[in-house]
Amino acid sequence: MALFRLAQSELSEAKRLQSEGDYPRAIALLEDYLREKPDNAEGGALLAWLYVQTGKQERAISTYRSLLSGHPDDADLHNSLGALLFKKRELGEAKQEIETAVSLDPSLTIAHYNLGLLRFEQGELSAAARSFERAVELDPTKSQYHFSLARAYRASYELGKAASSFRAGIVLSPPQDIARPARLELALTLKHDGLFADSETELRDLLAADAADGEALFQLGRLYLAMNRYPEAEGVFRRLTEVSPSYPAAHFMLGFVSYREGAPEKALASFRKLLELSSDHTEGRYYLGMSLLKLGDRRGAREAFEETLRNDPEHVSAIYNLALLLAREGAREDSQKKLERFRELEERRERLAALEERVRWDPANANFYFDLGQEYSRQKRTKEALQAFQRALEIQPDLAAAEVAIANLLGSRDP
Amino acid sequence: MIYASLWMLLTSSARFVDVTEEAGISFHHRNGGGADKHLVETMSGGGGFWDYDSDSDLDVYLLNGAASPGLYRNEEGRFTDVTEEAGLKASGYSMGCAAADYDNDGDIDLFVSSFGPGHLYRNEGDGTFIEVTQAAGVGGVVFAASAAFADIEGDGDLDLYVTTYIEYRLDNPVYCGDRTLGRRTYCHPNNYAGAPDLLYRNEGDGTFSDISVEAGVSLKEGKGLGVIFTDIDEDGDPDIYVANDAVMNYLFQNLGGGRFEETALALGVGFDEDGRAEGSMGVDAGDYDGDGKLDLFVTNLESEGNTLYRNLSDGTYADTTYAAGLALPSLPWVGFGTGFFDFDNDADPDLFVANGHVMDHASALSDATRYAQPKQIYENEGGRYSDISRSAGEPFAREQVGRGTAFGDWDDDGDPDLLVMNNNDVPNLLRNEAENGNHWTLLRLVGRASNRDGIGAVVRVEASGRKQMDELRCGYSYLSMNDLRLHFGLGTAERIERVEIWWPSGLKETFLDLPIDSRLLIQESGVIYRLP
Repeated sequence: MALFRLAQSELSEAKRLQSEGDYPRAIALLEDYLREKPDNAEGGALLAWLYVQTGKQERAISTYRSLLSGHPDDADLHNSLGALLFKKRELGEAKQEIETAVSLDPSLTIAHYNLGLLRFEQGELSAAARSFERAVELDPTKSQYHFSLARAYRASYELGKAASSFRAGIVLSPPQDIARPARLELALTLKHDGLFADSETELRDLLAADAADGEALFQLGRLYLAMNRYPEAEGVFRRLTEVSPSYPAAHFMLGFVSYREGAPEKALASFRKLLELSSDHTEGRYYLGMSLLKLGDRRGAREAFEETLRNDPEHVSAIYNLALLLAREGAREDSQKKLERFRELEERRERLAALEERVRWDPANANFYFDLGQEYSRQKRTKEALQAFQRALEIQPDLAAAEVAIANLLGSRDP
Repeated sequence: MIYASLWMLLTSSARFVDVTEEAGISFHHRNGGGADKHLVETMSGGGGFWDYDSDSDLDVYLLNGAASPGLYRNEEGRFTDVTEEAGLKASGYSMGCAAADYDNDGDIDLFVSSFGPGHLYRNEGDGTFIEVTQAAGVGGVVFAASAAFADIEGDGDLDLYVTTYIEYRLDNPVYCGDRTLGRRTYCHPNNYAGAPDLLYRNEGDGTFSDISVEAGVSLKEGKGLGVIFTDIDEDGDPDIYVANDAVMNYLFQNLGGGRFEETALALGVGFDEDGRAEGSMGVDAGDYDGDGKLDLFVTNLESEGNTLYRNLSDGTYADTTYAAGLALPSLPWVGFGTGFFDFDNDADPDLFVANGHVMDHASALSDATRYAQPKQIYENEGGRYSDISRSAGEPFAREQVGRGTAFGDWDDDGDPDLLVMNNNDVPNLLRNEAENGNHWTLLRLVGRASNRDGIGAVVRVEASGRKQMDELRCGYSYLSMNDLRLHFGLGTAERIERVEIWWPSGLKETFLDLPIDSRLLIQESGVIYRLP
């Protein structure tokens, strides 16, 4: 990589201004200089960096583009431009730039990493994992690479590998603000892999370091629920309401546990507290209704279900219970309408569940992903539909129907 | 917590002992499992109690997958394998059974549901059976599960319902699992289309007609496993409740004239309380809260919890599982065979559930579950249940892949015993050794205008001012056949003040002042005998 040299004194001055945080003067100095020598890559790169720091993304992009016209083989420049385009959500061009960077310099670790992030974003999970694997191979000391690789594995349901990668990143002792979220993610990964005891250990370790770690408490409570250890879950969520009294989810979970333990009075108190904090909490409103129903307050329950449906007109459980309530109150016609709506939504849910089940048990079948994408499309769940079609294409790159479906979803007939 | 457990130990009167081997039952269920992971392998394991030789004690019949079923004759508490001499040695993959006197000739016949054609065996009255499937017209080839008999039209003979699970192709089974790792698993039922159940009308001449479509029970979405006939609307004819796997459960209300209407959704028994379909397997009905109305209990997949539907006395039901204390103890397990039974004779229905996962590699999915799972017994404490399994004896500590479960007093000591069928394993004949001095009665009904077994009769018993009710069913739980005598625990009552019977013929009879601790044979139209 041959770089033109800026006159030492001017470069030093720009760097000095940069280090002092005087970005406007550094920019002015470099802009003047580059008007004279537009091909100077080092100066251009520094200027683009300064543009990024000052929020002038478009100028940074034009600077990189202009530099690349003079230095088309500079992998760093391609990677930097790609990263900026990625941020701007111009994913197609971003991918092209970063892939060019990787092909020009296969040892450019950051480009592999960026390509991994981009592929991950596009739902190309296996390809993302391959990019992250390469980044880790080239520089195993960066915890962030391990964590990103772990996330790609986790998204592909390769949970064992995900846990190993999280662990590899954590032992590198990254700063606490990075390690802690990763440890939480590790705990969740272990939970999803069915390794409940290991997950509990991770969460308990986090809580040993900070007994008031709200997120760890929340996840530990949920883990206990998954393990059907309700008394322990109740204790953890109660602690969470003490640690974070204004955290709505803490009150919801505490209410949920009480409800399931067959104590609707206790549940009611939690749900009421939750709704004081967050009056539009749909699930909280629904369970308030269920608790009232258990306590024999049909009118209160009905109001709660109606309010739930104002927040979410497709809340299947609220429709179901409201329909049954109406039937018991003799409003048979209204009940019937609600039941019909419930069946419609229920059938939709059943269809989706069946398709998701097929994918779960045969994740290498492109057609199953395609069918799932079609159903998501029908249900106007565009993001999930796109992911499913992308996955189908990843498995079977010549699946034209998936290409067309993506194009249609993105509003273009021409893929 | 410690105090609660201690209290349980001190007060629980449950004690069951596994006497399978010592009683002479040497049966082993073979599921024939192989690399193709056919779903039927993991779903099978049925059987039950019945008095095949009319000697007034309960014999044992056990179904099998890749081997012959077994019939064991009860000879004063010892069982002898009489499969071959009875003419019941068979090949084919059997699932469930229902035994009743379909031809009203005074002995109990047998229907066996299968993965394949059903089989009807007529009891010749001399300890042998003749297969009459073809002549009777009940050999529908399906992936069948449970079966039950009841008189749907009140014409005095028993009709037959057979649940059909899914459309399944043996020659091209769906692949589930991870092909790259070569790890094949049993598929979730969502991978298959449902299949309509079968309803056969008894024509009274030894033949049956398939009336599934005209009767309105032939719904193709159903994935039927458990079934009971129960008079849900108390109009004197049997309705049908079907436990479906992963789709809505069905309630077919009998409209009369052999017609049914599906009403589970409107009545609140199709889904759990959040409106979610559950993976339902076993089912029973019983009056758990003593209000004189039959409630429903359904066993389900893990994480769903079993479901108790309380009869609200207005024709609708409410899911009261959590309030009744039945949800949390059941969440970790996959429930199959089940039934209400008053194991301690304290005059309220307790509950039993046989558990066992469907996936034989379940422990690889999560460290919180496994294929073999413990049995559970719940004691009724005034309408709220306590899981007392830990103190109920060694069989409850042992984990097996539980499937069908039958209830019956095979040792004739006045308390109900258990027969648990386990997949690819030996069964458990569990003797109830509760010794609490509580009293009981066993009622054997004999119909005249009604079907001869009195199936469908609703019986109300009053003793010491306490009222109980039950209904005589043939076929409940999961793939299982139960004692056709109705058992009532009577607590400390010294006399039975009143027994009311509402026969399927419509006749209502009342008997006053009957003895406790007795086996009574009650014939329709007022004749009552005390059996030895």
